[in-house]
Amino acid sequence: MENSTATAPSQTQPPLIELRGVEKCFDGETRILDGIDLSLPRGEFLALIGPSGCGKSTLLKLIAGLLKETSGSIIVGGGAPTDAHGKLGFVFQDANLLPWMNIVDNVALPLKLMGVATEQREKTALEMLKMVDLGHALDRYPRELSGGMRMRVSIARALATDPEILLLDEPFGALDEMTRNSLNEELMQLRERQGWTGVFVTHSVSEAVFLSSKIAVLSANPGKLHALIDVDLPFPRNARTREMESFHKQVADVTRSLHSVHD
Amino acid sequence: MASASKGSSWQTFMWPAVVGLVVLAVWYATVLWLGVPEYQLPAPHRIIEEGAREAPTLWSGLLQTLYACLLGFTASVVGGLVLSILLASSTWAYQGIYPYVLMLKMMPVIVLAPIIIIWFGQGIASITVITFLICFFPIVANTTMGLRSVDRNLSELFQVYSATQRQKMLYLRIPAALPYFFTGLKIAAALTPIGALYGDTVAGMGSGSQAGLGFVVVIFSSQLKVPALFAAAFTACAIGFLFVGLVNLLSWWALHRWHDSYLGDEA
Repeated sequence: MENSTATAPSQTQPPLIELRGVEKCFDGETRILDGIDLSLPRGEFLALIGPSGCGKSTLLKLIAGLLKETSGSIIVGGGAPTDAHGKLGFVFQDANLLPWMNIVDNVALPLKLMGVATEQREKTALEMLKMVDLGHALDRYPRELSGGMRMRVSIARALATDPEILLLDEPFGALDEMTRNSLNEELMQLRERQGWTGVFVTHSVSEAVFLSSKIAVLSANPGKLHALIDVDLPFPRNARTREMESFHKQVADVTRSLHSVHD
Repeated sequence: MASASKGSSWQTFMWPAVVGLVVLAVWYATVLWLGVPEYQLPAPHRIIEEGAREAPTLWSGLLQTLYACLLGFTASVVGGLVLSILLASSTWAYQGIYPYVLMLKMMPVIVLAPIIIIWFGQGIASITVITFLICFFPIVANTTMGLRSVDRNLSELFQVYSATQRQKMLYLRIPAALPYFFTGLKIAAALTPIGALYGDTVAGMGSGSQAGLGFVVVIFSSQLKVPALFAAAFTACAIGFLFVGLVNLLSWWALHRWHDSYLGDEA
């Protein structure tokens, strides 16, 4: 079904992200995640969905190397997650911008931290901001932007380092549905262009179906992998995709799976 | 606050003027009708007269005290910042050093003053140290608090890009602590003249242009020049306004584009 080379998961290469028997406990006892096995080939875009408290965000932070697994193993790009930091972009909840920097400096920040020269990083930041249609607002500060614009800055920042892997933690949760849909479409176009592999956490079934090539449904207490569903919709996807019957069928399937978590 | 000061601009001048006139009227009434003697409460015009007569003394005292304020304030800002960054750089530094900072703060400056004078001698050096002791604590307490309370999500952002401790300090913790720093700075600015004047009374040099306002006040009071004392009080008040005004300006410059405390100032 997939007709774009940039997004077609390759079956021959080793997986880019691999989790084996991952368990995570907090305070030595509360078990958040248990026995998570996941394997992501290059080009895959995986959605993590499940009830509140199922450990979706924790799982994402484990992959990002922001948390350390209690047991099991996580391999990202052939090594430990913390070694993959140069290859990684992370989009946080609520944009998470530095309020004292204008948006150019915000987008350039990861490059600054990596030691890229001033001129080069400003050039890249400008490119990224133009890519997310914010070329007109370069000298603005985060508080002078709408929620949707801030989120676009956040995405531009995550993409500024040209990452192989993009991790998104409920990026559009705080936005209204219209803004959310159009950002989903923009994200889809960016993915077509840049071809990163992605994992994202969401509460929205339709967002999960629209964006991803695969959906992992988690159950809670402790978080376990309940189902892994392939999304059979052709890439590239756009606003029309949401009108397709197969889209609605997929949404219904995933919703059913999500409900069966509680049974 | 913004809406309160929004009214038309003549109102912002009118109300203080009205209150000022009322105070003056009550003042004159007290002096003239109740017959309060001048050594208790001089009439306002007497303060102006005597102030004008003592103008050269007041002026050179003002300059000398301004100089002491500037030295003491700068020492507090530099020392306070260095100390804050040291305190915030690690948990052990905070736990190990902060109790002693508190101890220093708790020692009344009045008790420390003689020791300081023995160490640094009579004059500007001792006055600077005394001013520092009075002003540095609000800067340290506030800035350290700011440096230690960085948003967790922003902290994770820096972690994702493997930022070093130094990068985190420079690009995250220090900017995030700026609003706290300026809060401390405003308090310190208001305390600066107090420090410099007090320092002057205990460690000041009495001769000519070396005499700060504090010393001038001591002389006026020993001579019972009460109207001149009032004039000195108003002169000292000007220093406070100058320092607080400068700090407010600096704070506005550093924060108005992004910090919520300046939200009302847009448009």
